[in-house]
Amino acid sequence: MQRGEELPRVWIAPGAVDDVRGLLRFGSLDRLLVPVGPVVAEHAGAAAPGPALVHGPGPGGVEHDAARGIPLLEAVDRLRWCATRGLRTVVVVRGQTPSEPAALAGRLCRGLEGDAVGAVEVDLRAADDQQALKVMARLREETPRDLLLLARLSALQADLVGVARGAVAGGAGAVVVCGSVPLGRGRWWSGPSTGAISRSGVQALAQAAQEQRWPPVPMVAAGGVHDPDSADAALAAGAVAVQLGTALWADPTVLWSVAAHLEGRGDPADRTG
Amino acid sequence: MPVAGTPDEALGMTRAGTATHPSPVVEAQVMLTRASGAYDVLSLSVPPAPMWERTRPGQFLVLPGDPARGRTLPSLLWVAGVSVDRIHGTTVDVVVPAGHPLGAAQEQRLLGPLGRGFGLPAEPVPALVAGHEAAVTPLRWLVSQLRDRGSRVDAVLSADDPDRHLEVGALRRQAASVVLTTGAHLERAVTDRLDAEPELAVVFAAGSRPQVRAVAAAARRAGRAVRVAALDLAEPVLCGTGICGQCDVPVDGGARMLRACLEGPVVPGEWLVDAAG
Ligand code: FES
Repeated sequence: MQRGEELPRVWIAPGAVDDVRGLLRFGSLDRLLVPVGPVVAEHAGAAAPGPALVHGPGPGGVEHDAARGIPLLEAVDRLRWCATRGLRTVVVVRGQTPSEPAALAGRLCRGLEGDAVGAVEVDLRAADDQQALKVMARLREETPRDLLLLARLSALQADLVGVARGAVAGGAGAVVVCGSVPLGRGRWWSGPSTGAISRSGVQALAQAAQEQRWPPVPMVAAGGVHDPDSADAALAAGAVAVQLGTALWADPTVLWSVAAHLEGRGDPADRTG
Repeated sequence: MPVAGTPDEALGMTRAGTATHPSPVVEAQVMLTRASGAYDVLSLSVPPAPMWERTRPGQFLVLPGDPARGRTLPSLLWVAGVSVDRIHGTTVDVVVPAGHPLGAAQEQRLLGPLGRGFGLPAEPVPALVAGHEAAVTPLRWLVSQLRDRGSRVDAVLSADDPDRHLEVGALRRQAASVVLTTGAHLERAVTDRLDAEPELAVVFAAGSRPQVRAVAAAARRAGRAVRVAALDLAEPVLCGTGICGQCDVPVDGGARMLRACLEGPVVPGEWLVDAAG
């Protein structure tokens, strides 16, 4: 999809949903963007690819490692799987250097299954404003003109508005505001209890947009959305769409019930910025 | 009743991709709760559907979580038995830990039956079932199906607390022999049975990941076919629907990961043994 095009109201969190094959039993994914990734470059000594290791559940969430990601070849396979079913994807890339995400996204977009790439998301939760600008700008150079690029930000990062500004300056067409709590040592806390955190990030960016401290782009609230009410709360805070992750572990059909609910709410563009 | 169409209609799409599959969303009514040691055995009334006649031991149901109330993850329940009766309706049995909230519920939305269950041998063959605690649930049902087909069945059941042996009395009535042991000695007991009964041709097992791997290895050493449930529903973090990846097990000598809840749970035990090298 192109920059400026209306975003799907519901997104699937790439780290939480490691494989969408199981979801197809519960409904169609035709109007969603299926996440592929996080795609990571292979480095000597890096952890073997695979889903995030979950250390345990607690009231309102789970403590987990960051998703270990999938290598490029696996991403090509998954893109092909989506392409043969007519599904569009959001390719999620991560890297250890500013150029790595761009290189990975570029290869996937230029590959045989490149048509299935509907958007690219890059994780900037550990970036500062300058790094965000650099990573996004490289990504912009390596991907088709006007392809929607999303920047994943943390509601808890130190200079959220600055990083959002850098990401948009670099070419981001939307931002995903994530409520997961970093616990150190690569661990995170995610789940329904993080809703207030993602909403606070969305609100901070909405406020900053009103004060013209960043050029606003549509925001996707990621974290704590688990039913129509929590989706409404995210939209009331200023998001135009929501991303569902661990909520789908609890009940995958929430994907469609939240989508149905938001579809009935009218034009999200009215709520942009 | 099945919540037919809800997901697809939500996104305004055709059911083209799913038309051949029944909806796996079921509204069940809890009809009966029966205490059995550390467990409650529940009978659920479900709307009649062809899928229940095809349901096999080894398939499971997902009881969705309730994030709004802090229950972040779902619970997974083995299907303990299905009875399809044109007069009294369709009843599905499940086993839950004693005091589980499902026992007090009147109506419950469930997902399933999901997964691949145990296949029955085409001809009657002497079989050994081996399972640990609540994982014996699908084996108990399997034993009656094997017996109905004329197979002799022996059983080795383990539990780390005698209360957690599931309905041994009922099994004793059906099995030619029942050996009780502890979880740590399950593999040894299986090996002993296989050594003592050379005519046992196939082993069916369910338990923790290390247990089913060990039983599969024992069966293989003894030259017997083995089918295992490669999913341990007692693990704390599972989605059951194939999306979280927490049930992945290495197979094919570690060359690939098997998503047990999606591609299994029942798989040839040899797959796990090869993975262990
Ligand atoms: S239990 Fe979640 S993918 Fe199998």
